[in-house]
Amino acid sequence: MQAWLLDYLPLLIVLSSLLPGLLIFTLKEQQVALRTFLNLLGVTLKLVLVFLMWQGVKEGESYYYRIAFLPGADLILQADALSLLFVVLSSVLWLATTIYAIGYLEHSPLRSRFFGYFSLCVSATVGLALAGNLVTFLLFYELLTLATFPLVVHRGTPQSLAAGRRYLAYTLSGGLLLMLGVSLLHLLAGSPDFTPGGYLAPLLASGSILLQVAFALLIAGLGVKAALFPLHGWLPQAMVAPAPVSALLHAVAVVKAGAFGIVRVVYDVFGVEVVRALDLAWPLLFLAAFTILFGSWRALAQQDLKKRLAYSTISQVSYITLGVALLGPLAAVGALVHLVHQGVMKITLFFCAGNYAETLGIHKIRELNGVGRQMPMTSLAFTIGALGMIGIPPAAGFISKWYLGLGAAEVAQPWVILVFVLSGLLNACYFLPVVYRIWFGVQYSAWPSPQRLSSRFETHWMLLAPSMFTLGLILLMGLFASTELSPLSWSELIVEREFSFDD
Amino acid sequence: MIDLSHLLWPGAGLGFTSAVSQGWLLFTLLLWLLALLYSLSSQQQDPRAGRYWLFMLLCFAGNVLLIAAQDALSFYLGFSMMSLAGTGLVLHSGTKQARRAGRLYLQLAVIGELLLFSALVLRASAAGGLYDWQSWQNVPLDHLTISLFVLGLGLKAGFFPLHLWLPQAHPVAPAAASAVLSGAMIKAGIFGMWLFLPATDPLLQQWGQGVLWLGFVSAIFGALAALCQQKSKQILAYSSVSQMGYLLMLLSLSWLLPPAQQSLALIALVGYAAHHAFAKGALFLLAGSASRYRFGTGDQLLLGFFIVSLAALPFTSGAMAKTALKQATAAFALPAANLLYLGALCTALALCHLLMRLKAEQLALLSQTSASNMPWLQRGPVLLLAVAAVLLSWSGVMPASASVWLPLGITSYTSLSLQALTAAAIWAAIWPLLMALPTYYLLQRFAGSWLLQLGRRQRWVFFTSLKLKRLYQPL
Repeated sequence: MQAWLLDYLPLLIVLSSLLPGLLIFTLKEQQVALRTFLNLLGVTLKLVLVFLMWQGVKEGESYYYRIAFLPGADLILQADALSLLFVVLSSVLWLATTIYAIGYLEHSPLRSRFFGYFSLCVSATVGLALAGNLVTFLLFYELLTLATFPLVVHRGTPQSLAAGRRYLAYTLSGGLLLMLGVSLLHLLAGSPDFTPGGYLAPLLASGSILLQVAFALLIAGLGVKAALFPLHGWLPQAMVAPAPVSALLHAVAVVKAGAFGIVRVVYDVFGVEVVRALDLAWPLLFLAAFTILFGSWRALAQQDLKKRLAYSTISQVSYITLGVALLGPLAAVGALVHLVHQGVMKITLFFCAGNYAETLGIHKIRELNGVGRQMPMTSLAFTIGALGMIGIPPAAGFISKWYLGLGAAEVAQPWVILVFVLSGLLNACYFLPVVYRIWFGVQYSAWPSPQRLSSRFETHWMLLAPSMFTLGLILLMGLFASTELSPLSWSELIVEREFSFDD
Repeated sequence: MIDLSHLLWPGAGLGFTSAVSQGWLLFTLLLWLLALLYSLSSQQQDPRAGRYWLFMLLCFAGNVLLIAAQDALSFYLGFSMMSLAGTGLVLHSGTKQARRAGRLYLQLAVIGELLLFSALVLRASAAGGLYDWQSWQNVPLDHLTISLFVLGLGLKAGFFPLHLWLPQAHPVAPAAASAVLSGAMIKAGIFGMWLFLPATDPLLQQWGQGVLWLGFVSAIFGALAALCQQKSKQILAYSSVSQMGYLLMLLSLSWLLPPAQQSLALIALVGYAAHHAFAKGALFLLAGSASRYRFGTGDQLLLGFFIVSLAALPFTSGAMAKTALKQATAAFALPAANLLYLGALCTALALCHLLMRLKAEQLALLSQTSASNMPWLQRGPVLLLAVAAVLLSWSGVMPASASVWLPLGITSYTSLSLQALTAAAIWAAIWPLLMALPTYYLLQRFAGSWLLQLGRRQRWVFFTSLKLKRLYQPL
């Protein structure tokens, strides 16, 4: 590749999904082949570009792209190891979700609109990952809100419109808080690039209260998307969206954008030193710990499969926040690796829930009795995903929980391990009965609305293949956790390279 | 040791580096293979045989992996694989009893796993991020970690008072599965305790005495509770609780004894575990066959052999194991070493009861149908287990040229068997048995119905388990 092209690599990665997305908007509903081609072209192109960038970043190269935007705050796209973690996660899962969505929405109306926004959504996520300063981050964060709203209300039912309104109310006010926080910091320190170790240390002497306010605003703004208690209200309702949207929302795009933002703010804006000096970690730690238990507790009571998964997300994403708030290197590794692991596991679970709904019309948990015989592959994927959520090896979830636990012990907060144990117990309480029903339950009534989607497989291959792919990822990430390719090694690299811990 | 830490999970290493783990692997492997052989026959007409084999093999893999593990994560992987796949075996028959036992099993298994998880995290953190045993040996323990280990692994080992699931879960599983559950899988708990609680740690001296008594109470309790049961497999399960108590005693003795004598207790531990694996495994297999097939004279002899072996009569592997236990207690100069006779008496009572119940079950079977003879595919594994038990205790008397192919160290158990042949030792082994016969008769005569009622009192376990389930699963 030409050297000048390399400079544009971050921009190209964003454009590789943005341009196909814009083109798709102009397509007619019947142009299925062209639309599918554009979708897959975008995915492939992005994967190739991301691969190039990954190679480069591993070698220690840096990519940097700047356009003038506001006075004192340029639009910056750059690639460090941390942004690459998120970029790889979102583009790989985008591949799976695109295929899934094509299969899922076959013969349903308004697909051009859907896939257009779908691509926009991924562009915004990738842009947010590559953002080089807070202003750029904010811009993509807001874009993400706008791109996901049409996806949430896609079905157009009163229920989904209500969910969409709620989603918009939560995320827009969150965006507002975030903007206030960003502007406050801009006033105090300008908007320099994200720096490992933060850039606010010089301000510590002058105004600590303003910094605390800014931190609170930023976390509150990001906490809406990361579904931190008490800002989680939109998430369970938003599960009325089509399954691929829920999958993307819960695994990569929205929820993770919030969690990723929290990582950025704590490590690259404030820095561990400043967070410690201002005593900012404690409230975040307690809030995250409470959210973990609260989400799991609420998940117990849900009888709708997707709703149970939604509450489980609230709990699981807070593992990441908790790991960040512990402010230790091992906990940071755990948090980062959980960002990836949770994404892959949760997307698998949502794919499976979608498969059950599409193939047999199953929405309620008690309708799952004996489904293991009917759809063994999907059920296997669901089982492994659920075991991973509880934290049982060899699923990937165990690795992240192990590191989070080690991180808690490292910073002498053993009570946090108790939080993980309790959450694991609650996870077992709401996942294992489902698994039991799937495999050992006796089917007591006919499937709600069975459809024959494939003559060879248990369901349409485009629905089955993505879940098999992510199932493979879960096991590979868990079993081969210390190989060079694994998210764990990459997270260790990030912590080593970019998070400054004084040791 | 194979170092896999750059290929698999962090710190991964496999190998059999100590005599204890080699011995443990050996009897575990043998019991598993024979149980799998037995299943070829017993699951022949099972419509859900595929599921059975899947869970059996998963448990097998987990069991071997946890013995081979040289690091925390591999152990935990094997342990949880075995525990969770075990649920499938308990649930296999799908009856009401199986379902409620499976629920209880799973609830306690998950709790045990999470306790073990936190113990391992604390330990790995104390060791500065190293996961292998060698580096853990010299890191001092603390009380919290020890109690987490004892609770987490104890829930698997099933000694009193952590045995609640064991007598319910083992009897409902298919016969071969009960054999490995009782013979191999619960021993993983004791193995784990040996692994994670190194005898060199000074803090364990404080724990040793308490754990020793816990083991003793468990030994007595299990045998007495077995008397209250009516089904042969349930009696066997309670007898496992009792035998796990003896294993726990040996383990705690290895902490308490001075370093020079620790190996004595450890050799005894492995010998006892192997003896129990063979005998209990075979008895579960026989109990499974007894409910479906007619026993010939040979089969009755086999049954008698294993019962006598558990009763520790001279010449059996049980005598070897009990001698080892007595030596270890004597070395510690336990003030109440004589209490072991009480244990022997209770065990003998339980075995009398077992024999009576098996006989009753066989008679009931024969009165209903004309059952066919036990197939060779079921008799063979039991016979091989008998051979293994004999080899375990008597391989030393063979000429050296014939025993070279035997695994190292096994011949050392022969001297223990020989020590059980002195007149005093024979008398010590026999009088509890002689006392047990009239005691059992009197018990059944005057307290039989009371014991029966007492046996029914265990419902509270299921009641609590159901309450718990209603709590987390309202519908």
